[in-house]
Amino acid sequence: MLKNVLVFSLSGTELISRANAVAENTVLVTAAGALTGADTVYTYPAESSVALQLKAIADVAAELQPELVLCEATASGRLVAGYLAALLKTNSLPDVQTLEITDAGLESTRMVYGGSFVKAESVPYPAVAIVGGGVLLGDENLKAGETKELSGTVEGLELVSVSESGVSMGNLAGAKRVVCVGRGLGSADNLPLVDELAGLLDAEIGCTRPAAEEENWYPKNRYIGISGVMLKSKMYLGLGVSGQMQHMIGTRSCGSIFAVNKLEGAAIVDEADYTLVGNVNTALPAIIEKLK
Amino acid sequence: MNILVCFKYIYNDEEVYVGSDGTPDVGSASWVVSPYDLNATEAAMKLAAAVGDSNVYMMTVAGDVLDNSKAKKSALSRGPAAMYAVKAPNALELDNLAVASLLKGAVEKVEDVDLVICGEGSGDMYSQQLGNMLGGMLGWPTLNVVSELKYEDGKVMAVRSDAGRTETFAINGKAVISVTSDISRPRIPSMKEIMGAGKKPVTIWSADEIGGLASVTNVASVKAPPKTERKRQVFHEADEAEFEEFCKLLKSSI
Ligand SMILES: Cc1cc2nc3c(=O)[nH]c(=O)nc-3n(C[C@H](O)[C@H](O)[C@H](O)COP(=O)(O)OP(=O)(O)OC[C@H]3O[C@@H](n4cnc5c(N)ncnc54)[C@H](O)[C@@H]3O)c2cc1C
Repeated sequence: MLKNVLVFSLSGTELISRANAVAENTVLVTAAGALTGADTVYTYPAESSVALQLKAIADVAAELQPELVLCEATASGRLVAGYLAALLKTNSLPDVQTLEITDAGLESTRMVYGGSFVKAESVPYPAVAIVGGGVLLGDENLKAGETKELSGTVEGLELVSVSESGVSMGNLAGAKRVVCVGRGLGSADNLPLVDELAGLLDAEIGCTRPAAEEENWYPKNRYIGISGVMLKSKMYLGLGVSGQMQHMIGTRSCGSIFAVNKLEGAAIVDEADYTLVGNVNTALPAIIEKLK
Repeated sequence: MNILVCFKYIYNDEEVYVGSDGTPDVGSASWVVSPYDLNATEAAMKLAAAVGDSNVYMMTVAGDVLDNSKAKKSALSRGPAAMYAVKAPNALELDNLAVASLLKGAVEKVEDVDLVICGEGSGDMYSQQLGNMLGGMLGWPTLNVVSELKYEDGKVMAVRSDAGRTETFAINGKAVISVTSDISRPRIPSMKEIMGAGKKPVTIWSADEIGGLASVTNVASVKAPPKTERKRQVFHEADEAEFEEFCKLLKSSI
């Protein structure tokens, strides 16, 4: 049994449940109104930013001296994890796929080299891990503790504005069928055709990282791969997707992989069940005709 | 303003193969600047130009690659005036704790650093942790996932995009910032810039000179995972029967 565990999480009860199972005393840091369930819950105002709370969270950790810190696998979780790892003089274990909490420390695995390899590593306590959904599944185990408020500020850093895009995440991670747009789609003019095809296939639309970040065809939370969404769909259809490992790793759990690519030598041909060698500009409308 | 861009030399991932024992074979891989650090460099150059009267320097912790003139040019041909480096023979085996503590020591040796800019994650390990750890060690304001840096009314403005939420910060003083790859497109250096980069100054300290913390991570193995076997059937759009067959298979997936 560990003495003190600190959890940073904004949604989901997995991390706090596991912390309660392995530790005598648990502390949760979260945004106001987001979560409860630990012996002590520190909340910061929802309209603030986690970046302004780093010093305040570090003060909580300095007093608590946790053996273990668990952070959710989001940008905010990663920020807190790195900052606290520096304070605790440990190396944070990022985006673990598996995590064992042992008497001596943490043992984890994670993907490296864009998913081409899996790294198994361990660290002694005090330890910090960044943990995504599904890694620490188990029984819900929540405590009714006291809530305290954090109202951190950081000298030299001023939050000028906050906006919520309201862009829906859709349900890409849980979708049964996915049509994925790669840079090879060529032009935003083809996007309505993608909508039509996705409609006919009853599929969600995802994309590659460059299609989101460089072409701006879709919001960033729509890209599939090691640094984006990991799919579990029955079917995946890639349109103008080259099939680099960093992307395809997100399709490893998919049922059938379909692709349309103009190059027979594209990497995706080896990663797909069925590849149509052709030009999306002509193949896309022709496929739509056939499916109607 | 003095801006330091932290970067990592990695093996070109397209030349890292799965060895016969399942471990990475880097025997024929060349060194490259980790791709997202190039985006960070360009962001730093743009910010420096906007601020005016500014300097951009590169900083890394690396091993023998520091003796490689091509690697030096690839880092310095995209604008920065000079490079600072901590030479550690086993640089790629150090964990982020050790690397961040060496970088902290090195940052403190350079005069009047205002901003440290890091790429969000390296092309090999992609931990997305180094900048956050460095910020914690320096005790400076720390931001990650910054997708835009601007200069307005005498202040550096940083836009942090986390899922659907966008936060805009004004930075007044020192900070450590990790930027996402969409912040800028890396520039393609000209022949002249590549030649000129060879003449730019490089200051190298040894890891012993800097001190720093030891790694705490024990790496048990790095191995290729089992591959999902796929059917790899190819159909051609130009062949009507093959196209028909592809569409039929697609239809049967509904
Ligand atoms: C650390 C790191 C993390 C990364 N994480 C991710 C990630 O999570 N997700 C991700 O997607 N990427 C990620 N990447 C990027 C990844 O390596 C690839 O660069 C990216 O997936 C390629 O996107 P793409 O296939 O859309 O574009 P491209 O590589 O440009 O491929 C376009 C393809 O379209 C084909 N094409 C072109 N025109 C046509 C046409 N008219 N008809 C048919 N086909 C055509 C081409 O033959 C080509 O194969 C990451 C990279 C790094 C370094």
